[in-house]
Amino acid sequence: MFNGGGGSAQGKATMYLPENASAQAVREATRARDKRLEIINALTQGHVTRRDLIKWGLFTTAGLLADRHGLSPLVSAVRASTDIPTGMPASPLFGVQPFTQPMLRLDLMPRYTDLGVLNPAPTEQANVTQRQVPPELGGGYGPIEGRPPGPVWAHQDFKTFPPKVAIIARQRSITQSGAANYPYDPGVSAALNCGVGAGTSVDPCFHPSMPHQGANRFWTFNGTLPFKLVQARYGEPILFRHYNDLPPDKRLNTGFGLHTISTHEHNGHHGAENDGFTGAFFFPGQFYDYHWPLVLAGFRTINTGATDPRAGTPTDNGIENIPGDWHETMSTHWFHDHMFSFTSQNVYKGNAAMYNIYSSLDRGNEAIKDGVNLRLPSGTARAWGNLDYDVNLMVADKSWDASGQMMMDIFDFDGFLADRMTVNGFYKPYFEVERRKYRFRILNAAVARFFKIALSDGSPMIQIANDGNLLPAPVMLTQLDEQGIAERYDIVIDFSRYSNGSKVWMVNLCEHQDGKRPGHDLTLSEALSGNSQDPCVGKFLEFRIVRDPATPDYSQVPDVLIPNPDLSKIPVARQRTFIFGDGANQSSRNSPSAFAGPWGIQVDNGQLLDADYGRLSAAPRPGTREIWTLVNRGGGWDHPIHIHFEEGVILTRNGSANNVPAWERGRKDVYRLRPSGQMTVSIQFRDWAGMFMEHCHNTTHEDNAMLLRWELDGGGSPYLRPLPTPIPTAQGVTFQKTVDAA
Amino acid sequence: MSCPNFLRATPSRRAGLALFLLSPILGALVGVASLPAAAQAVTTREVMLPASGRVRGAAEDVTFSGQVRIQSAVIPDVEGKEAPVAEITVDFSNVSGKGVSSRAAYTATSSVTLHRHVLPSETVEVQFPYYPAGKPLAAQSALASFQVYNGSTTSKSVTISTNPAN
Repeated sequence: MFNGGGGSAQGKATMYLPENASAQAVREATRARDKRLEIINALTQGHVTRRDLIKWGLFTTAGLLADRHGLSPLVSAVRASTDIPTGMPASPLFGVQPFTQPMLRLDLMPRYTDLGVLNPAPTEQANVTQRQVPPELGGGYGPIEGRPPGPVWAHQDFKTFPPKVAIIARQRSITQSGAANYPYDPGVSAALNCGVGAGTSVDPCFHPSMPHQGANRFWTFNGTLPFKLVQARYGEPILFRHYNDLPPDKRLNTGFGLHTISTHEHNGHHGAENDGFTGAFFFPGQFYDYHWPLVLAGFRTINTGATDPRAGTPTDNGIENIPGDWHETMSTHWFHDHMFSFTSQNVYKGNAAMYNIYSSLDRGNEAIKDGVNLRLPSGTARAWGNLDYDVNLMVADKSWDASGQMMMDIFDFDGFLADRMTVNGFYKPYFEVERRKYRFRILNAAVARFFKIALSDGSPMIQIANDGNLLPAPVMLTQLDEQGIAERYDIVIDFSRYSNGSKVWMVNLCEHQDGKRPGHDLTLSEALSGNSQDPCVGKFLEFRIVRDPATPDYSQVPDVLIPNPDLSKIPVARQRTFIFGDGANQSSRNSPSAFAGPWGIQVDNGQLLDADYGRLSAAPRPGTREIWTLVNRGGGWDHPIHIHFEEGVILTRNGSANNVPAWERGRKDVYRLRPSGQMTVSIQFRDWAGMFMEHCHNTTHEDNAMLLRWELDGGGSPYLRPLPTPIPTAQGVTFQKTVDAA
Repeated sequence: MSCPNFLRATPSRRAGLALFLLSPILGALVGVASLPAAAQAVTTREVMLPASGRVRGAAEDVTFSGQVRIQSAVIPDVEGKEAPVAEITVDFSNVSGKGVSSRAAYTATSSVTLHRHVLPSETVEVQFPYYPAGKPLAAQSALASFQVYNGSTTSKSVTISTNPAN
């Protein structure tokens, strides 16, 4: 424990006013927030540009909100002495106590095996059938599908992997009557979901005793809560049709969010046309067909005869072998918006869902003994995809105003931090469990906040996966590592150690002073003391141990999970260095594909540059392996770096393989650099082509220019290098010449 | 383009416009001048500290011995805007236990990385899992504590005790 115990604000201004803040402090903070909201509205509704704000002195060129006019939430108000706390008013709790509502499981999206539900039928190239465009979007006519037209953006291998399952999602404002049109489906019986069964009407609010969220405050899949879950299995291609039902009038965003969207399946192994490229966004009234073929990496060259059952899809009768490398089997994904410069706002607003992928190795049935199935905690009723003891947790901080309506401060370019912990969209809930093993798939769905999770009694947890991949071996921990934004940690907790009627809590140990990086990892006793100035530290999810297991616990945690693929025989074609820092330049054209912000990326010996998705920064050759060195240029911040499409294996941290902890020795797609840290990553490129991205997944940093485009040349027609850059409009997508800086 | 209402309202704000117009230029100059050339080299200390203690377990008491590897580094903010942060990694893989009554071997394989404020002196406590050899699902947790000075140097030993949170 700290000398002096507990709290650790270290004299710094706190992010949020404490509950007992003076009336004057609350008034000043409220006034500052209202002024910012006025600017936000003007900015997001297109009345002003960021350039205007810089001219007026409200932004610095570094993108920071200027310390004037009482605008900044992090700077003492003009008349305030330094000992008056600054910050935003705390989100009111309306008398609600923690752990007084159930944590509902994610809502399963229906899977349609009759593709006739898709009308019009999906097409290989974008469907450019014309429709009338609303006047708010410029009027005239434009295509019904927002995917860029032509062969470059056609679904790769569409005929080889024709869709077998359709999923239809509608991005829309949260509704008050979601259950009528989209009945809730937790995928388990009510007994395994705190008594809440399928078809229950779920109120659109953080807690039943808090106000309902108003129209356009949340933009979620199908306009309902809880957030959604898609179940998929290898070898069963999915056509994910995403309708944009958001309001054509972008002024209806309630202060944050943009109504154009692009859906990134994080971190799918498929063509770039299905990756949710940041510049391939689509408009209200359009749809975009994403083709997720669900193939194992290496399917063109490895195990092409599909003879190894470890490379397989689970069926009702066993395993159906598929080509590819079983070492690259993935399990826990998510999908979310990737709109250029608006990802943080749109994801915070609800454009995020989880995506479980099942395989012969990780089939979601704990009882089948076929010599392949790892039998991780899940259930037994179905041949695959049991969720009884396999629970998704979307952990995120949220904030709301005095009337209980969700809010966001888009002017905090360090990284927006909210002040209330939610799981699956619900404020500090409880979850009933049986005395047995459970698997939890934990997603950090925050904008800029890191979490560090422990159990309140310090009991061990077993980490079995990191990001989409099962680890080579399970790792026993009493506290998980700092979990960066977009990272997924799959863990197993054995509740058999507890007696019926007892409780244990998930606790967040990671204290932030700002959104730049984790400020201070507390000990368990410090976090439980209640002394932290960070309102998101401490208990956030209560487990109630309610009964002995209804059926025997057949699950296991094997000593060996999925070993990494052996890439040692694949020569390294090239090494590249990516340096992440602030103070970037924008050297590109004045283009809709470019954005200036405080953050940027330097490639090899080039300049530190702001984002321009019309600039190509790296172009690995298909079939090769490269070593990428990721460098955090500063000690004052951390960056969870996401490389799209291909997972990598961390070779070294700060120059040594010994510094790579056991839980990072599997394949990853998000790499936390740590302050002033660096790492080398081995990545193999193959199977699919097109334009992908690399960026910080602190989505505030990402949106403020810490993003680049890299590209994989298909090696033949129709892919040319570099590919032309799409510039979408509601009337159709045009293309501009790409700046080749690779 | 129109200016937000609250900016339009006060003449004194208009008077400051000239200064505001300069801010991009000043900001850019400051930004360029403060750019570090590359990631800053950070010196990491690594020590092996003797660890010992007795823990009250669910089935029996367990005595621990061995060495805890501690890596520590104080990482400054190259821009000087943030306080330095101490990065401390604690590795228990060279610690083992023995059951007091059964004489059975217990395994402690875990590590943890913490980012902490730099203080002149503090006691760092971390739980770590231990379990009968070959039976990881029977894991329990114990508490290790040691001193850290100025985010970097440490006490000469690590004390292992019963996890009070159990």
